Amino acid sequence: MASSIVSEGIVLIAVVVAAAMLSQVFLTTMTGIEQSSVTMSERLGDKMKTSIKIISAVNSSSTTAKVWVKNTGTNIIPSAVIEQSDVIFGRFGAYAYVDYTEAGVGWNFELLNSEDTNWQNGETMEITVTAASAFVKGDYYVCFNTFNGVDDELYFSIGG
Amino acid sequence: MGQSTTVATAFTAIMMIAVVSILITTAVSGFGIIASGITEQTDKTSILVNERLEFTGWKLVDPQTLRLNVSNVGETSLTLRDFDKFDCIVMYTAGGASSSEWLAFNQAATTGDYWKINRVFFNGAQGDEVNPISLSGTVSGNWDPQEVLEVQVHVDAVDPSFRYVIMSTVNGVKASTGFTLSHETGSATISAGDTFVDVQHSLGRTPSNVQVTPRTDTSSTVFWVDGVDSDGFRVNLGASLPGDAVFYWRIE
Repeated sequence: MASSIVSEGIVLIAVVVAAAMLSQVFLTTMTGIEQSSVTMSERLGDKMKTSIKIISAVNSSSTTAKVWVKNTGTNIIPSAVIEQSDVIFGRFGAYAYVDYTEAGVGWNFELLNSEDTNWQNGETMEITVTAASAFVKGDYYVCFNTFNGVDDELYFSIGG
Repeated sequence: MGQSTTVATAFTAIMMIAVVSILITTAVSGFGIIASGITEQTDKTSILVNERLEFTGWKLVDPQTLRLNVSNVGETSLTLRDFDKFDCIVMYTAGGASSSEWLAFNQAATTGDYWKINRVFFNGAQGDEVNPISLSGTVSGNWDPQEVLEVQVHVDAVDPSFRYVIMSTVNGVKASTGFTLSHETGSATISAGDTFVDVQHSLGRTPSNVQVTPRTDTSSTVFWVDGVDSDGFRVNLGASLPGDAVFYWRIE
């Protein structure tokens, strides 16, 4: 009888330890899955709230082009994050990635009707793309891609 | 059934309940975020479908000032509070160079580069009935469907020749118009002793027809036009006259 109680006790302890370890593993895994899922949902929601529209694009000199882009979404994008955006620009069929630059060849931006350094709903940004060589007459393409992959594109022509 | 089996079963049940509750919480939280994004996208699409602008006329007030009539031909009301988020991009040539400028909405401005609202019309009469627009002080009211705004665009450039204007709402709904003159008129004077005068025009193209009428008696002295191009033309006299010779001109 006594040996039976002892063995039952040992089994009980073993079961409790095993169950505790298993539950620990399960809960850790589930927490990881939950966090990933929430992050994914947040990113998706963030992307759905981000919307931009290129209003117009023209060449302002032989080597510079101006592109006006409007924030038509509700996502507030700080200036530091705008710099992480991608600009693809060039002649139709021969466009290329343009690097962000404070000055010189590349692209930079100015928030036109913003009271702070954030790009908010309805506000327009003027992008200046400076090329290394003079534009030649023809059709051009510009694409602006935000940090989270929302983009808009426009075809326009230079010369004429 | 032993005590260990009971404990194991209880643990399993607790674990399953925990797993299920975590899954439900995650799903509900994710759905909430996505649902809010979908609602926003739907609202945006609805706005884009129902919001529309149209330019219905323009007039050059002075060389630097343009008046444009813009009609709200959509089904949404646009609040004037948001007009500082509207875009007005004007393209013009000045001094032989092309320029494109984004202008800020500034109802109080009288100098510099700006655009503002002059008047509002509804059914061809000045004023509006619904959500009346007030332009003094802080602008208020709504630009409702069927209402026409008379908008004033001003650039400080010297003698600009306006080419194109784009206007965009907060939501990126845009309208644009070009400015092509069908004809232009004016007068020119050949000073006493001279035999020609060069006339500049703003047609932006070579006129297909140039008409010149002398206002001064040129007697038997012949006159003609040459050097007609997209910028101007020359009025010539066969011989100089003792006094100024004034000519009216019309090009198309």
